[in-house]
Amino acid sequence: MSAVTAEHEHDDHHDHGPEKGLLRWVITTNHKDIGTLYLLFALAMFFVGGIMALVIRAELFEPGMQFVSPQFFNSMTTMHALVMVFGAVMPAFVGFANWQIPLMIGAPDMALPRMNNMSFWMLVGGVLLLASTLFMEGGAPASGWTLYPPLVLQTGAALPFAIFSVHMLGISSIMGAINIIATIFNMRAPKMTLMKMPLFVWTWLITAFLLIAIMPVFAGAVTMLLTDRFFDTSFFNAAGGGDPVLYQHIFWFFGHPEVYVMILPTFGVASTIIPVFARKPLFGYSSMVYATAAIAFLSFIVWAHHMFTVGMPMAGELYFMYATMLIAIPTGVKIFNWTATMWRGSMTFETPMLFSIAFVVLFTMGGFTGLMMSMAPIDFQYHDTYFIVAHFHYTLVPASVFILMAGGYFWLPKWTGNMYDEKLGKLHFWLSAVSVNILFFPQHFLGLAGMPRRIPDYAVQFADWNMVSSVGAFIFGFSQLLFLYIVIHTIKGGTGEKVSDEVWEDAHKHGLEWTLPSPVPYHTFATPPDKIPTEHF
Amino acid sequence: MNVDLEQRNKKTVRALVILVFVMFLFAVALIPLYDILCEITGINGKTKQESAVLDYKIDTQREITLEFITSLGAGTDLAFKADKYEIKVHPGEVVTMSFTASNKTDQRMTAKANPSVTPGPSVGYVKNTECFCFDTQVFEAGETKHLEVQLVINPTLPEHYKRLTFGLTFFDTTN
Repeated sequence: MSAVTAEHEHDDHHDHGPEKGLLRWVITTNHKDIGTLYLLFALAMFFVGGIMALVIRAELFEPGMQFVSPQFFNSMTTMHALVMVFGAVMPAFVGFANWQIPLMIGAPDMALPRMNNMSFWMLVGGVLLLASTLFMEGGAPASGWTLYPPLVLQTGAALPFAIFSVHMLGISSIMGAINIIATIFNMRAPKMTLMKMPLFVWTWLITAFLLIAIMPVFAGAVTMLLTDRFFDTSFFNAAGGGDPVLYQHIFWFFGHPEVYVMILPTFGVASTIIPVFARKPLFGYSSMVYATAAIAFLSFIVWAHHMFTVGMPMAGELYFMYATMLIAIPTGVKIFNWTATMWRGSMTFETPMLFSIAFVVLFTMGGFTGLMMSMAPIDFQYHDTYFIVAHFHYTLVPASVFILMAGGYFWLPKWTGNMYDEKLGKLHFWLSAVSVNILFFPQHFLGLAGMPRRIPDYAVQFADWNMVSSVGAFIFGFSQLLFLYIVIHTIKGGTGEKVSDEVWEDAHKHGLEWTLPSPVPYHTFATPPDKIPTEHF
Repeated sequence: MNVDLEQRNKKTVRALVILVFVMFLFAVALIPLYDILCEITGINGKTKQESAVLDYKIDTQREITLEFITSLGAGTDLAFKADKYEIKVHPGEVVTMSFTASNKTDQRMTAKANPSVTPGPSVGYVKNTECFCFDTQVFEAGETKHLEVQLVINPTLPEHYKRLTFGLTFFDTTN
């Protein structure tokens, strides 16, 4: 798209632009092309996962069984989670990483371009394999995305396919992570020292290490599920001396860092956008870096707070409770730093900034409910209710997803050279920001009142708030079609306004990418830049 | 791409791939580590599966209610029950409990029972001196067996425990 125009303009003096035709997108090793592929794939999966969410909310609109069978309902909650986590949010951030990391550190491309291509197509294969389970005998996995045995072992023909798909997604993530680390370690412009890297690059560096540490553990756990089912092992089977709780420990050793894989790059993008629109350097750059590292470290030692009710000894409950509460400290540092960055800044409220401010506010709310649940005795009431559903959706939707939108609005003009429609962007923001709260806020009340999660039908006293939540869900879901329209419209020419090289006022002080022409040429930084922006210190 | 950079990339990738394998092995190592940890700390309801030499003083001042519950693993076609559901014992006293299990199928069945004690933290105080659950049991078609468990409660069991539950779950292990 952007690259196509670039090719036409520079045809005479560029000897290798992109390939012609559709094959370009299959065999490309260009970080920008692969970034685009990741982002478009993530956007498509965002809608697939979204449709599943709407099936769930439609069924829960009223008490009683309306549209789907309980089995299919449970498949929907499971698949919605897996598709959104592995198909939408993670690939979208890998897409940003592919586009932005080389531009931000002054590198010509990613360190391992062929592996980059392979990890994208592996992802597509993994997600298609996962989607194919919907059509298998016995239905798609319906055990929740945590795949707890013994329930998950009752999955029909889909089980081995779901597990292989998890393997493929894991290998894809690991290859992506290796690529990102190699790029950041070896390909920075000479003056780009580690402590001068933009925060988005820092957060991705740390995220990549998290991925390498946890994905093999998850692969190990699901492989044991596979052997328990087909090769008569008893890792998680009490009959043979195994223990299903062991699976929960292994899963959450992966699962807790995994949720930070989705939130750390979110922090990075927010830290990139807020200073630009506050027209101030980021407050407390080095504390941001250390806070990210601290959160990443803590994520490995708190896993059993997902399992307070399995019957841990008191010492375990206390340890995991206090360790979990510690996370609030580095996260609080970040929230205060973003607030301080905005303090007395000359703020303007373009769409990316609106989404970022909503992120700071709403993510803080998700954080506070997390703090509530970190208290072991209180968690016994909240465990497996809609309260936890509200909590993690607040940290994922108005946080990660809003920041993905913000990043899209922020960088699309740079990538395409076209300006998006600001009015529509703001409309999209307000529709999303209001409806996301109509959708998820009532779920706090439902959870506190005792409505369990992962059920297709519920007692009548929960009816009113479920209806409100479902209305919010449909407004939110359909508002995203507006985003799809805006993205396509921008790629195809946008408002027609010619964007400057820095796009946003004084953005060139904030990052190397804004010193390049708009749209970004197909090949950039063939020779490393000799000056780097220093505004963010 | 220059040679130096290629060398550095190779080095980085090699180190990271090793890390991937180490983490995979770590996941596998968690299995024995978990068992060892549970055994040392006695958490998660795992009783020690061996007969111990016991020399407890019987504490006639205290009386503990001991409940027996029986259950079956999925697809285990046995009739399995405790001959008494509840008894009162003094800590330190060796008690024998009998159970009846019969094979409801017309085929030979091998089965194994798993013991557990609740509440969890009391596990370390309940010693199985003898239990049919130490061995695999073989049932001929339709056979009924009387099975015995001998256990003793450590008199140092904290005061607030008045009632313990001893559970046995039979699993069909024919295949």
